[in-house]
Amino acid sequence: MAQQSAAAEAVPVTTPATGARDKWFRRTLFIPPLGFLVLMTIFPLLYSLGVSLFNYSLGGTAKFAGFSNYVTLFRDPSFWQVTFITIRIALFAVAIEMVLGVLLGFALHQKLPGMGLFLLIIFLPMMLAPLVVGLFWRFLLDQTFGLVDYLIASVGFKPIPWLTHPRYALLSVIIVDVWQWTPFVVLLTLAGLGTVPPDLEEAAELDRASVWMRFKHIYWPHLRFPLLLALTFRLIDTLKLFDTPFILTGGGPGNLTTTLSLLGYRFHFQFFQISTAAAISWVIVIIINIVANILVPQMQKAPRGSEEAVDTGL
Amino acid sequence: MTSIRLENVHVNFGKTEVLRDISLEVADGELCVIVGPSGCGKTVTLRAISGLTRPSRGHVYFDDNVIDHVAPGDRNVGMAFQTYALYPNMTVRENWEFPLRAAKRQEELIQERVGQVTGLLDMGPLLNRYPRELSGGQQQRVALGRALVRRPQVFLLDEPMGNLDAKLRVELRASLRKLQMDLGVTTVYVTHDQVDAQALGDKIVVMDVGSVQQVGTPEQIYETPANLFVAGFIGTPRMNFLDGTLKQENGNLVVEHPLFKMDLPEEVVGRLADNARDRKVVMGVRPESIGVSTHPGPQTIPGKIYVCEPQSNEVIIEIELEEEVHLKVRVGRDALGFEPYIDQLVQVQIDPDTLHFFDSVTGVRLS
Ligand SMILES: Nc1ncnc2c1ncn2[C@@H]1O[C@H](COP(=O)(O)OP(=O)(O)OP(=O)(O)O)[C@@H](O)[C@H]1O
Ligand SMILES: [Mg+2]
Repeated sequence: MAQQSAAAEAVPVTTPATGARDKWFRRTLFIPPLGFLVLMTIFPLLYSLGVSLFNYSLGGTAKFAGFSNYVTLFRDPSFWQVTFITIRIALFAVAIEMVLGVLLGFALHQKLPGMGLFLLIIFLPMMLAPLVVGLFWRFLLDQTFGLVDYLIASVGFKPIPWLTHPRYALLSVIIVDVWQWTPFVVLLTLAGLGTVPPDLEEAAELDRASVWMRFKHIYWPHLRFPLLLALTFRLIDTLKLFDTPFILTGGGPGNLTTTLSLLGYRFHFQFFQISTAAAISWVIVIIINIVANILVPQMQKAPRGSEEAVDTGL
Repeated sequence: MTSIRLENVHVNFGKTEVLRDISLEVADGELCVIVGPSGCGKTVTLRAISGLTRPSRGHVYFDDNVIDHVAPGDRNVGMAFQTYALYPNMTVRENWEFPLRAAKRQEELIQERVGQVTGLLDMGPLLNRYPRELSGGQQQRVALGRALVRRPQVFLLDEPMGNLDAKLRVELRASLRKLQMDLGVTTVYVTHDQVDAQALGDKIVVMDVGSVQQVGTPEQIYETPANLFVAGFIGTPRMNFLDGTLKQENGNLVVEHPLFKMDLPEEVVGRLADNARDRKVVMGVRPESIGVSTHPGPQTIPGKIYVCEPQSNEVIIEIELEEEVHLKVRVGRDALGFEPYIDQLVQVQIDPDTLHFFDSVTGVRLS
């Protein structure tokens, strides 16, 4: 006994000197990621900002243009149309994903036999490459060969021109995004629900709390953070949506499913207006920044009752 | 209002059987205390009553109605969890209001009940704190309060006072008992504390490794423990056990121990079953029914004081009769009449009237 406690006391106490060394060591650890960040993020960003301020076109020399690229862009009504379409897709798709994802998450939270396999199936869409998803849905929704219209026709309705009709094309893009990304919300919902202490659920059950009271008081405190995270991720992701409309509808009919990313792509690779494309990508950056600036501070707010004691009550 | 009955209840977690054939009855308005060592299945028994754990076999009845398939919420029980299970994002007040709001009670009634519980549990200054801002004992009182604000058919209280200081515990014990009697709510109360059990229970259930060892009034459990486990578990310090043999000797029944031999008086013989002759037994004698003196008398056994633990008004003395044979004795300071010290030679007096006899193999009480 006595020997053991002597050995325990022999552990060296951190001295101020080693403390300072520690601090420097920790700071040097920052250098590689910082360098990486500068190289891979800051530089391309600044470069594209530079490009958007010049007039690059194929073959010609770059001339400084100030904000004229932006001005032209903002004067173009189709730019505004595309901006609103992008926002509309983002809002609708994410709203549906959130609601559906939370509902499915609660459904899957129950421990039933065979749940493991079911979960795997649910998460499959998220694991597929966007290209695969796009092609797969293009076949499903195709008016002449598609399975969906085949089923619709077989129950006696008129086939729907999913990908070519103005009314349905946008819906198709949203459906595909919902199909692919609802599992992500389910995943985060399940992660949140997994942190709810079971005895709280039981206490609420014995207290006969209504569904709403349970959601608000038992589950929401544990869901708030993961769901805000899901919301932020999904909004950022859908605001720069590119692959689904690119493969599914090509942005058509007309511009009706063209997103900002797709528009930028067209300016760059079809019209070779590289500076306008860069300006568009900067518009996307700004919109996403606004969204992130609203949502991220929400995440940092502590839920009720978890702050340090303020009112001592004495 | 409600009586509770468990009928051959078994609970399994995977392959381990945690409750083995529990049968138990709690009459309407009764307060039943469950005691037993840690891990013996007290909490699981409460959970079986509340419906949070489904028995793998057997039935639970409320008032002669099988409620095996009634959801926990519909059983109308108020439960104080051993783990407290306080809602962390609600203040003390909100925790207490929660079950009442869930039941859509009138605001006036809610405030009245919360006020009542606040007074009962002495939580006045802490009503607006969150659970994490409370000490363990304060949290425990919140948990108890949340069970009490409702007026359920049944209270299930899982060690509701284990974390409280002695003074508060004694006060609360009395007020809890009064409240329970006033309301007439059938109550099952789990505790480790024997004083709690003795003071509160109309009935005590002693459990060990998932089965009921004995059910009875506090006196019955203390005076006629059904087996060695109950005898050893109830009472502090625990009962002394000595191996012995029951023998018939010239018309008298005697109990023989390597160190002494004792004639058993008529009443004791009468209490013993007929087959309790000529067999090995375990004698039990409570520390408080042993006398100690410094002078030898008739039928006294010599010994040496081994350890001495003074209590407030009594002493607990451990006496060595011979190597490995120790007896614990609890006597009042005044009754002792001398100042005990370690290695002092003393005489021990055991009254044969107070002996308990158990089968040396099965541990079952012989009587
Ligand atoms: N969910 C569970 N899964 C597996 N085993 C369990 C589970 N719950 C309880 N047990 C086991 O059941 C036995 C009884 O547990 P229980 O919680 O009823 O003990 P207890 O009498 O309340 O003990 P304590 O006085 O320490 O609270 C223990 O051996 C425990 O390990
Ligand atoms: Mg327990």
